[in-house]
Amino acid sequence: MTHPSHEPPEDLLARTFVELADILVTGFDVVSFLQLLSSRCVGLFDVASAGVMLHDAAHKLQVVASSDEQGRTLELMELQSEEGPCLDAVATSLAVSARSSDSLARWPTFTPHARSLGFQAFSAVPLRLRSQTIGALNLFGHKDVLLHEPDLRNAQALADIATISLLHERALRESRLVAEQLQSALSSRVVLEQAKGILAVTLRCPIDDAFVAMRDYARNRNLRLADVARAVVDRDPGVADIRL
Amino acid sequence: MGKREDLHALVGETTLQRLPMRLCEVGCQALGVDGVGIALTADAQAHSLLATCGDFVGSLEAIQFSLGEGPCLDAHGSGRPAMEPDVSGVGRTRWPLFADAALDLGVAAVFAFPLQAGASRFGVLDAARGRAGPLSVHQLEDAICLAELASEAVLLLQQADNAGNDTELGSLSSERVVVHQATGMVSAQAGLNVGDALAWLRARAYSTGLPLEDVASDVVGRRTRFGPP
Repeated sequence: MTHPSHEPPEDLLARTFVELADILVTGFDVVSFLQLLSSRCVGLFDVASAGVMLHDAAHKLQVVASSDEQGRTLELMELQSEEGPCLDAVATSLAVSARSSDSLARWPTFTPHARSLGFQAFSAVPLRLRSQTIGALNLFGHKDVLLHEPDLRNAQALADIATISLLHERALRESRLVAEQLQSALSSRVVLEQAKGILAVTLRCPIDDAFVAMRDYARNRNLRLADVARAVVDRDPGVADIRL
Repeated sequence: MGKREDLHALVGETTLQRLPMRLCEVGCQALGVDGVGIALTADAQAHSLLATCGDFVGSLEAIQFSLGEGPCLDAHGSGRPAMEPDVSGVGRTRWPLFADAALDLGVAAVFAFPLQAGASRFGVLDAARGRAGPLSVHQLEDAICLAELASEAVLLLQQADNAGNDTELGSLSSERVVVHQATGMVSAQAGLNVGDALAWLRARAYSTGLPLEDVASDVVGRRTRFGPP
């Protein structure tokens, strides 16, 4: 990815929004989406490193994307020591901003770790939609100064876009799954009737007897009736031994 | 307030089971049409009717299943609305068989909207009117929003089914059961795949002028078998 540092920041911010939206349209991949977000934060704001943590299925925070290795290391340390700006942002659903010169009391384990990696300023904004907080966007700086207020607001705006996208993608994935189950259920009802008709001809029997033959066949072999019916319609030789 | 909220307010309190029917009733009011229906589709065919309100749409669904063409199948196939404000004009070139049958019923305009989640399509919300003419822009917005709500309702019903509450979603009418059984029988008699067997039954119904269900009943009752009419 090219680092567009020659661009005025407001153009880059606008372009980042467009690029994030584009990923949503052209096939969503959570990791590359959050990776782009993290990398762009480094160009957009006065920070050295950026990353995203998300709740996993077990509701534990995981590092999902980082702009670089040092940032990732600090985020992992944060998770291990169970204290730090990202965890606070997730816990309170509020933006957090602090400098290493006055964060030692608040995060006694995290602060020395961060300093040893060269980080002096820490900000985190929650990924939240209404009452739901799904993670945080973390921004780490090398200088012992707080992030500018406008930068923090823009970071929150990017985090909001990311949250909506992630929740939307999650919901869409779920409904796609249900839609496929529905299609298969609808199809099975049709295929079952067609299979009865086929067997009624090949076994020279009434429709009802064809059904009983198929049902018993499935039962005796521990197969699903829908699968047996599909095999009958597909003329699968594996079910050529269905008998009355 | 957005469209969605407006329509939600019109739907009011109801159960999940009755929701498709309520959406049809709201559609009849909001879209200025004579009938609205929600139908399920599978394997590029009409599958079953979930709910209808008003006139026409029940018969239109049966016609499309019998003929294998029409706006619902186009909406299902393309994933886009299929609208024909003048069935007697352009509609005749689009769907020659369907248009004549629809005009016989007194239908002058039809509008069909796919039910979908991502790339999966599983049904259609359709509306019919005895008077020709397009939907207004507001009616079109309402129709698209109603189709979204109908998609969600159908998926919720499927989820309830998954959870073990039998909602009878997609149960086949007895007429349609007979057609699928006859399809299987013709398929076995003639060595055709089921798609071609259904096409044979449809052609037979069309050429004899009998309803598809009657042709199918004759096959299942062993009064007709595959062969020249």
